[in-house]
Amino acid sequence: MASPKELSDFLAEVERRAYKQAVYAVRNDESALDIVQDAMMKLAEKYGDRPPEEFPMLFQRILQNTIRDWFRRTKVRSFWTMLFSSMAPAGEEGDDFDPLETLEAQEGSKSAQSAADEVSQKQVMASIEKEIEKLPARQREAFMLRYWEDLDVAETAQAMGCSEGSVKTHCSRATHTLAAALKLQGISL
Amino acid sequence: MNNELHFAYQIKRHLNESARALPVNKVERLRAAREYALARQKKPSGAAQLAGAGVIHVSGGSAASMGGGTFSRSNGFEWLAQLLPVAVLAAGLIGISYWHQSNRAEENADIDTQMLIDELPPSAYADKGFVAWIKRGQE
Repeated sequence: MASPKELSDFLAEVERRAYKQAVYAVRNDESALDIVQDAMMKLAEKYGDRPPEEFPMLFQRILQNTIRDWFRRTKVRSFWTMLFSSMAPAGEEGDDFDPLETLEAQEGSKSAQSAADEVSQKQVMASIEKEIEKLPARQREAFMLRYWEDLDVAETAQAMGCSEGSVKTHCSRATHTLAAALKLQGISL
Repeated sequence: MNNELHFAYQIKRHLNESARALPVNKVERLRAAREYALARQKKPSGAAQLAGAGVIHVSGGSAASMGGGTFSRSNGFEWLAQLLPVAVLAAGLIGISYWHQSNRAEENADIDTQMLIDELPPSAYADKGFVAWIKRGQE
């Protein structure tokens, strides 16, 4: 059984990555925060008494399901909006992301690096994040779980509810797509 | 495959940096969400706690079957606990309805009795002329 401290440590360790994953998927900061809060609550309420070793897998499965639920709800909402209004807003998705904003937001930070290096690194980071957002949902999901969350192939398959073969295919395609897109922008890692 | 892993590692490094550089307001929101979730952490059920502490001993059976037994028993208790308020509410509603009906029957019986022992015959109440005469008298 996990103690409150063990659960707290786990959530503190995973929360930023979970938030980023949600942002890449839904492309909206507020919705991403809500999704992470939902996932944390579900984990604590339903599985808070499980051993801490089970948390990473359970949390990732909950997070991915919560993201999918968000898309389902958004789809239903946009259906009704379109039905009742021909002047439906373009939506919150995607339009509000600008790599320049990322640079501006952190302009004041000081580091040992030269300003040029810092800007260049932030540009690379923004490009990587933008390309990750562009990936098909399943490929992004597989890539994130496998390489960022360090789940093995079997765990990733379980979290995604698909076969291990599919995970390998998704990961491989995601990696090649990312590499090709970054190469086009002159970025080599 | 090695190239793929190396590339994925580089991406991971950048993603980690990006996660570390989250704005303070986002970090605060995440901290608040975490604390809210922790306040609602599911506690092990009483039976499971006792079993874990070794107070309940079940002879025979594997550890897995013991775990399964505890799980289903605690589930049963949870069901009972959830069902109890609903059952009490239903019993209350049935009681109120029964009491209301019996009250009404008593009231009707009283009215019938009053009408029967009255000097006025019950047929007078059905007579339109009599009702009109009473109304005129009140005016």
